[in-house]
Amino acid sequence: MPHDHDPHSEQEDPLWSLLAQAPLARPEPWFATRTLALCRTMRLEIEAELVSIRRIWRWAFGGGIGICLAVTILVVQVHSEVAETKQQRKVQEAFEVVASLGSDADSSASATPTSDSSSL
Amino acid sequence: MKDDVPNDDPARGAAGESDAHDKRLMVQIATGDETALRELIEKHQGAVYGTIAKMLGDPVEAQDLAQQVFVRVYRAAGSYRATAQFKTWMFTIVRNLVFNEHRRRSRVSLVPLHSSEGEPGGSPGLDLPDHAARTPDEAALQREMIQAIDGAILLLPEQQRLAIVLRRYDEFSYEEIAQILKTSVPATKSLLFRARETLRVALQDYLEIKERQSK
Repeated sequence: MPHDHDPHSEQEDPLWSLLAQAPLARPEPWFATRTLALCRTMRLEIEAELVSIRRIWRWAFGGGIGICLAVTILVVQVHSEVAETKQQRKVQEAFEVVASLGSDADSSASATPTSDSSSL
Repeated sequence: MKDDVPNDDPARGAAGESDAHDKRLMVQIATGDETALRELIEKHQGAVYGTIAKMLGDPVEAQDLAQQVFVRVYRAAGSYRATAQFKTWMFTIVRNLVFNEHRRRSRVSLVPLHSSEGEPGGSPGLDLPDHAARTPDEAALQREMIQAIDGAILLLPEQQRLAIVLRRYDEFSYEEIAQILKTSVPATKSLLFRARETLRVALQDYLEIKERQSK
C-alpha cells in the first residue's frame, strides 16, 4: 500500500522538515483575555434570557391560574343558575299539573248536576 | 500519538496526564470556574489558533473562529462527557467551524487575503519566526519559502489540508485524525499520502534548495 506511512520515515522526509520552516502562527497576547470576556458576556446574556423567561413564565403561570379560576367560578355560577331555573321550571310544572287537576275536578263537579238534570 | 510511539513512552504518559488535566478543567468550568477556563484557553490557544490560521490563511478570521471554538467548549462544559480525548473532541469543533467557514466563503466567493501580493512576511499578520539573525537574502528567501509553504497548504482540498496540519503541526496520531475527520484510519493515511505528494510537487524548488544547502 503506497500510503501506509511509517512515522519514522515521516521524520526523515525532507518535505516534513521543510513544512517545519513555516510553523503555526501564534495568537495575539490578549487572545485569552478577550476570549474569556466573550465567554463571560455570553454567559450573562444567557442568564438574562433565563431571567426574562422565568419572569414571563411567572406572569403566564399567574395569569393562567387567574383565568382558570375565573372560568371555574363562571361555570359553577352558570351551572347553579341553570339548576335553579330547572328547579323553578319543575316546581312551576308541578303547580300547573296540580292546578290543571284542580280545574278538572271543578269542571267535573259542575258538570254532574247538569247530567243529572238531563237524565230527569 | 498511539501508533507512533511505544506504549511505555514517557511522552504518551505525559499526553495522558495532560488529557486527564484537561478533563478536570472541564469539570471545573462546568461549575463556573473562570480560572479553569483561562487555563484551558491559554493551554490550547496556540494549537487552535495556529491550525485555523493555517487552514484559512486569514489571521483576523482565524482569531474570530478560534474564539468561537473556546466559546463552544465553554457552552458544552456542562454536558461534556469524557468519552474521547479532550483535544480530539475540541479539534472536532475546530473542524466543524473551519469547514463551515469554507462553505460560507465558497457561497460568497471571498478572495483570500493570503493571495495579496507585496505583503511583508507573505501571510499577512501571521506571527513569523524571527529573522533578525539572518542576512537580508536569507531572510527574504525564508519569507518567500514560508509564503510558498502556506500557499501550497492552502491549495490542498480541505480534508487533506486539515489532515496534514493536524499531523505535521499538531502531531496527532492517525487514529486521532481519523476521529476528528470522522473517517477511517486507512482513509486518513490515504489523505495524508495524497497531501504529501501534492505538496512535494508544489514545493519541489524549495526541497531542491534545502537539499543543496544540506550538502
